[in-house]
Amino acid sequence: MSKIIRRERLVPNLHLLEVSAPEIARKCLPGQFVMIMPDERGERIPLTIADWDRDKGSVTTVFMTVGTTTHKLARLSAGDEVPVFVGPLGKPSDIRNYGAVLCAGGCFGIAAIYPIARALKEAGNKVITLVDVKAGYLLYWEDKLRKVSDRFLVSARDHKFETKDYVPAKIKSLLAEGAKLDRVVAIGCTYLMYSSCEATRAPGIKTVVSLNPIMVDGTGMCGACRCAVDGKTKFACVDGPDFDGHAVDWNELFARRKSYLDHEMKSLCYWERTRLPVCA
Amino acid sequence: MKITIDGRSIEAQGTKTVLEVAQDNGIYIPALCSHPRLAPYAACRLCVVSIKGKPGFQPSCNTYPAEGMEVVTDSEELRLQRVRTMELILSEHPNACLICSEKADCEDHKASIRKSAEVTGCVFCSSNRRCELQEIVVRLKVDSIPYSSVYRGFSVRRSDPFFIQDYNLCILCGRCVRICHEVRGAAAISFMFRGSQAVVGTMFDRSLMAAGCQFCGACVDVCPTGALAERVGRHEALPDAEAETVCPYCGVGCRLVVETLQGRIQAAKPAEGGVNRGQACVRGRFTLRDVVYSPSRIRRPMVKKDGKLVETSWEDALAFVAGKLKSYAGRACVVVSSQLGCEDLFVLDRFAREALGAGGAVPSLQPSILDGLGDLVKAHGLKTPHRASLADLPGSKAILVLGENVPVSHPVVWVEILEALRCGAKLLVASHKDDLLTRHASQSLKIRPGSEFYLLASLSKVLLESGSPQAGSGLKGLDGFKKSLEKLPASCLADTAGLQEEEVRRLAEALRCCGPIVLVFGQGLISMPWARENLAALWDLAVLTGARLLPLAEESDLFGAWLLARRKPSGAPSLETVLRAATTGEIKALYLAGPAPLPEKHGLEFLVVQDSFVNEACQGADAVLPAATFAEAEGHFVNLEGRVQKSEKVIEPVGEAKPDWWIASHLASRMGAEGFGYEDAGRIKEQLDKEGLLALQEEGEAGFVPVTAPSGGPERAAEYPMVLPGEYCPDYYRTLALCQASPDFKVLRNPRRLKIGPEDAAGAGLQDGAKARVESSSACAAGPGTARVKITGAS
Amino acid sequence: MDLNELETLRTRITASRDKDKPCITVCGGTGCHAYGCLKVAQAFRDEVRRLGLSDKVAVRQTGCHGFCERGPIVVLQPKGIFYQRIQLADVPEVVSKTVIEGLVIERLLYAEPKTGARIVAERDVPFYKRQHRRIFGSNGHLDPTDIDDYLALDGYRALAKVLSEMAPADVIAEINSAGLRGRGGAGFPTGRKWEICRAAHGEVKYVICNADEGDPGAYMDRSLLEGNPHSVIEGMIIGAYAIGSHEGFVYVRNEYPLAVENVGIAVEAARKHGLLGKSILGSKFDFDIRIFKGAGAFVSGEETSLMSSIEGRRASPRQKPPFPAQSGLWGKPTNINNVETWANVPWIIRNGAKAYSQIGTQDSKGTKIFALVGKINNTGLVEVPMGMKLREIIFEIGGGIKGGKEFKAVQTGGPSGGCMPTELLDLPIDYASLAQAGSMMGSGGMIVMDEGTCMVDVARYFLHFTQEESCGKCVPCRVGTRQMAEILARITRGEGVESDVERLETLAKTVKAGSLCGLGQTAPNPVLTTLRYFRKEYDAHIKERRCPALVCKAFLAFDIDKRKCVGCLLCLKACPVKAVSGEIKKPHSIDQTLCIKCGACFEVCPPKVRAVTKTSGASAPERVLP
Repeated sequence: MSKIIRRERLVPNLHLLEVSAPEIARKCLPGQFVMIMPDERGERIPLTIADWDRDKGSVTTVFMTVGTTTHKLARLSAGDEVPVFVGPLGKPSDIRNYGAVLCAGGCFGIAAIYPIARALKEAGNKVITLVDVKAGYLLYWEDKLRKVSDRFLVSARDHKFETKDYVPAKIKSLLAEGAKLDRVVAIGCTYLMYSSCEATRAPGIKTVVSLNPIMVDGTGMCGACRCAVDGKTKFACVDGPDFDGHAVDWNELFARRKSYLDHEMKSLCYWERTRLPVCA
Repeated sequence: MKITIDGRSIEAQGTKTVLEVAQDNGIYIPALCSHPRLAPYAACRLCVVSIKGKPGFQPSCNTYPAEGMEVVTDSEELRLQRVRTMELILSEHPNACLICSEKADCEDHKASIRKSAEVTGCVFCSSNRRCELQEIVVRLKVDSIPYSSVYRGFSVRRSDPFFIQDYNLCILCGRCVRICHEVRGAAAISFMFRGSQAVVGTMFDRSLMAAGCQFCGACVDVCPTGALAERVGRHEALPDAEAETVCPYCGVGCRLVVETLQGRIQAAKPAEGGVNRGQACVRGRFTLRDVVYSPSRIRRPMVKKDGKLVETSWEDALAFVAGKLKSYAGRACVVVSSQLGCEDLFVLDRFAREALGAGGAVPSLQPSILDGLGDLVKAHGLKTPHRASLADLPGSKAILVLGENVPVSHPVVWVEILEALRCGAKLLVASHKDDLLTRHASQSLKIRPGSEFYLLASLSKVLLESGSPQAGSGLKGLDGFKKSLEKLPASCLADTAGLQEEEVRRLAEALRCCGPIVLVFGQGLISMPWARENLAALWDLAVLTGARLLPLAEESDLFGAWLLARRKPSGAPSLETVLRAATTGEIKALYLAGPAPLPEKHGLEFLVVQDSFVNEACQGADAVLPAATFAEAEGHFVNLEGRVQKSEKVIEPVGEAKPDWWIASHLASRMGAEGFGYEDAGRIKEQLDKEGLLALQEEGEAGFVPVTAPSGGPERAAEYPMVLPGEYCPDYYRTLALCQASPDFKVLRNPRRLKIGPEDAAGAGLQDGAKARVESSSACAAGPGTARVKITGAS
Repeated sequence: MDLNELETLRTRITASRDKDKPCITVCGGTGCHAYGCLKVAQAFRDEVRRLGLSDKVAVRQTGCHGFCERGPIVVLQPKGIFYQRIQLADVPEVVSKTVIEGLVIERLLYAEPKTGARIVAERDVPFYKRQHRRIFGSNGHLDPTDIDDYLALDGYRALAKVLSEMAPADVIAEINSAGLRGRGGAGFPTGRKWEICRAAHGEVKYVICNADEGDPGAYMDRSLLEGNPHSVIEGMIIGAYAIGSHEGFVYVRNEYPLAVENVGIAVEAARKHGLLGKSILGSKFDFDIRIFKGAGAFVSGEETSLMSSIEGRRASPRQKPPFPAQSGLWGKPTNINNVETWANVPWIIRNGAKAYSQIGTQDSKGTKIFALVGKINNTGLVEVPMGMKLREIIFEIGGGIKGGKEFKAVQTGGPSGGCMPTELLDLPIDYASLAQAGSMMGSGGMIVMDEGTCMVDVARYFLHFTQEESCGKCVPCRVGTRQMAEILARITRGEGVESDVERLETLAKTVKAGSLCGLGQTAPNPVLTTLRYFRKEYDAHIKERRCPALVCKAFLAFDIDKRKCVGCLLCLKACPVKAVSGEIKKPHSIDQTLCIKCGACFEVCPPKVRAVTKTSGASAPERVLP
């Protein structure tokens, strides 16, 4: 059982979860994830590791409340314990000096790109961070990301930020500006990653995405997370989660993510009706 | 009068606002805070128009047409003003999705975001694609919001049953507050704070439950955004079909629009037309889904094989039951619930008479209000006093309510009474405890339970002495009535009913007012042995004052059952005789198609239960036949006004349930009775119409009924000192209690509570919330009747 | 008590008061309360009793005299010797020298600021000389808690005249011909308002006195109600008689405790004298007044929200029509007038409409009381005839700008009014010309501003005020004022952008055209007028990141002029964040990163040294202030 050090609501729908897991904290690397279960009879879900503190032995993840399990997680508070917090899983991101790298992140992806941007910065890259939020009040970790990036951009549907366009349009305008991009890392909801890859396919910039299919054990046994990457079936949990975005069969991934949609709906409706106290 | 809108000359009366006149003539004017049933509020300022001769912009929702008025609803200036106002509204509402460039293809890619905790964009919201804001944004072509968006950061309020409140989405149009104050009378919510801090809330920010909300759902229906969202279907996709049914619970017969998704019920909303005029109550609005898909539904026919109920096919079940029942012809009875459709009741009644040779189907709700009136008609050959309809209430000047907690048992009748009070009518109440009814009453009398007769009789006496109402003069039986009044003991008022002369005189005074009077009475008036005398006194008071009667039928088709029961005079035995016969063994077989309090040990040899839900009777049953609910079969219901209403089939039956008439007709034809070959409910309805069974013609002329004092005083008063008035409330469908079906309903109404005075509680050694034992003299104490009881602490 | 009993009582009172008995009148207005006038009045009474002169000399605590700058004010009647700023210590000298021996004490007299000449009589003090104190004049002569004083000054004579000789229609005709217009702010002709309410059908009608006066800086209704409550009550009875109403309310702010108390005493006294209640003065007309204490919302100064407040509901306005005259309080026809409007009525009836309309312009008749406040020498309440020029009020009556600074703007009408620059100083004060200049008469607040006031900051303050006070019912006012306040706040924080001015204008138009009630419709006026007359200050804030009036902190910079600094350590000690460094006798310097721009060093630097410079904007200092 791992003890929760801190669980707080950063912005609407996004919660930070800091769990004391010394073994994981000792050797986790950017791009890896952990599997977590909110209670004994809960569902195992993957969460990308957003930050860690090697000597304090704590691992920080950020999750979005989109289903029963994440609603349950959002109800836990400091001092509670989660039965399963296993990791670090998945292959770490490939950190090398590529020159100019664009790290694009959307909602929970903002936290996910932070360790990667930090590592890329240490590796000497020129890091441009592009954060996509729906509105100003959904932006978080701005200061943390500014420290690790040379240029910090925001695309939002909010008048506070001049531009109104979404990630792909922002990438196009960056390229139009003449900015040289050697590599793009895009993490966020499937739609964000898919549209970022479409934007970089033409100019031929290698785009790494961290796929988020449904996972059960997260260690390569069950095969729930299989995705088609340039024709071959790959397990996102052991072969990934990072993949070359241009090689991924996105339609299959979209379909796979919707396979249990109505069960998820029923579960959340039931759970919310019977036992949900006031939401955090 | 004549007015011109955008150059078109239009005819308009003074009662409708310019907005309504424009909308009636197909001219679009955006409006968010106006609502047909609410007084003009003019807060959203979207419906502004320019009127020749008046400076600046005028809100059309608050302006009434005048002769020769020239209105311009669409000019560049107006469009700009509306777009600016809409931008201001959206700046405090999560507007990201409204102005997002990816709006088009985001629909089919989003998989999980529909289930988020807080709504930060339309895609997350349960009102997505059925929200009035979205509609206006499209109409006004708003594509950018020149302000940084604000999230007010309220936490989503989930502490109440049935629906959640997320005031981050609220645009403060005030519709919910106004409908709660103006139409429903509960006034549970209002505005708190002011300026940009203004928010809708309850007194001292307590939960809706504590603030006296009845959860009628009217606010959820009028909310233009997703701020108030029903908890059940919050995360589901939009419905793809809808059908109009009649609510199966109480006798008002509200029309409901039931929304379904892929053949499954999602939600029920009150229909605009019909008797309920767009309003409903917590039962009809929120519990249909939980009842139809209750886990205790019987799905397949079951037959008892060596002591255990085993599922079989319809063929074997019907053959087994028909075969067995044939042997008990003449020694069997059929009990039916009057929440079934007219078709079901008719076929079950014929099945009982022709196949089983019993007198007829025995209605499970005994005694019923309508029978009482029917008996008086039969006994004296007179015409019942004029029957009121719900539409008569708003126009009436005085409303007397007896024996029913109307706001809880028949909320839509209460809405019409409130409308009457707003137009100046007087509410007169005789009841034995303080509640919402007495709070709105201009005069409320506290009478001892079961002594309504004395009040009614003395009212008539006072009115006759003052000799003013001419309505009664010259009618048959007047002097007989007068003589029977004299025979009443003089001091009957004070000691038995616990009332003073003065109070009754004032009540009579109120009844003598000019203008229509309605007497609303319910189950409480007849749930004691001297029900007949009470009704006679009420009848005479009605004839005397020319008032109209509104009997509050407890079950949706009680009126239908009463109409059908008047067929061939053989008539069915009462429920109590059937139950006694079952225990003593006079009858050997019982066919239960409705709730009946069957004792454990009974002398029956063969028990069949035809019901939609598993109940205690099923344990001892030899055969259980799954019946379809109101939503799974087409049918006709007759509401308390006598209005026949069609209820459409909404979904396919659950499991292998069949409509009640189908089961009874197949059993009857297997038992050799003819004329049961009905293909569908339509054939039965045709037969009903042919025989004119559902038509209510009443011959004979109006007149008075002699009154006799209730005999049979308080029996065994010593042994059972207290009188427990049953508070009647149709919180059930057939045999399923709503508290058992819907977890939210259980939070709202916990049936197992006993309200007892502090001294009596102390006498019986009970504290608040303690368990109590109630012993009663009469058999069906558990039922709705008023019974003499002894209350002690639980052993 | 009937008509002639009233007259006999009046003659008995006037007889018992001989004109030339000396009477020490001490101002009891709220302003002077702050200066401790209660103690001064008590000191006078003790002194007079000590000297055994209580029967020969009277001491009277009166209402507000108007000249609040020079409180506590004592005027020795009958000669009208005007003493100002009386301290407790001066009391024995005043009694012995002036009251007994009749000698004038020079140092207590009002000194003409420019020439220093001492002025004895109240009439000749410039503050009073050019005023026309018809309504406010008797404040100084009567004790608000004593009805006899009011009766002695022809009190209730107008009511007697109305009840005995005039029919309701004549009263309305008289008010119409006098041309009286509403003093609440909109200036709707009072006669016509009464006519509409009288014509509305229904026997139960209400009459309300609106004493909510929520404008910051306006307190004339307060002083009028505290000083002379009976004139308001008499006006209300006459109005009720004209309209046919039998029930009246005085809606007074709970934040005016003295006004609540004095009106309560006055109503009680009027009832006792048969002037309120059943069959007033023996006539068939009965009328009573109830006092309703407002709960402190500025919005309930608006008619319909005032009425919902009285009805016990949430005080948010209703869309008109229906106007209160047709369906107001509890749905009954209601007539609402401002305190000052009611106070004008007895004067008109007593002296006739012709005499009343002598003063004022063609369409704005009579006088108006203004609360002259802000950066002005003679702060106080001035009653001037309509049509007088702003320059005259501010410079002749007001005594010019405090500290000899330069006049910059005057704001009339409170949060619903506008700011008028120097060019409009010759604007005559009446409804039409003020509205045409973009401001409005409003309740009468007149806030004078000098060069040290930043107009953008004034607009921000007023928008912040209306935003706080908006009831939140209608969208344009609730959201529009918040957005405007935010934009203005951003500009004053130095984050203004080019498009802000243009967005302010569109927002102002939307809010003005879309709002439901007066509050929202007039909230943008401060912004519109400051944009119209002080556009270059906005541009300075946005384009040059500079505040010409050196007010907005974001642009301020404090520095020490090395050449002038004598190293006296004064600013070093005064600085709360230790941003000043340097040793004794050596020029000090300010660490700009630490400086929080509080200005303590600037204040403490001795005038003759003036080493600390206060500049605005990053570039070269605009102008070093003296």
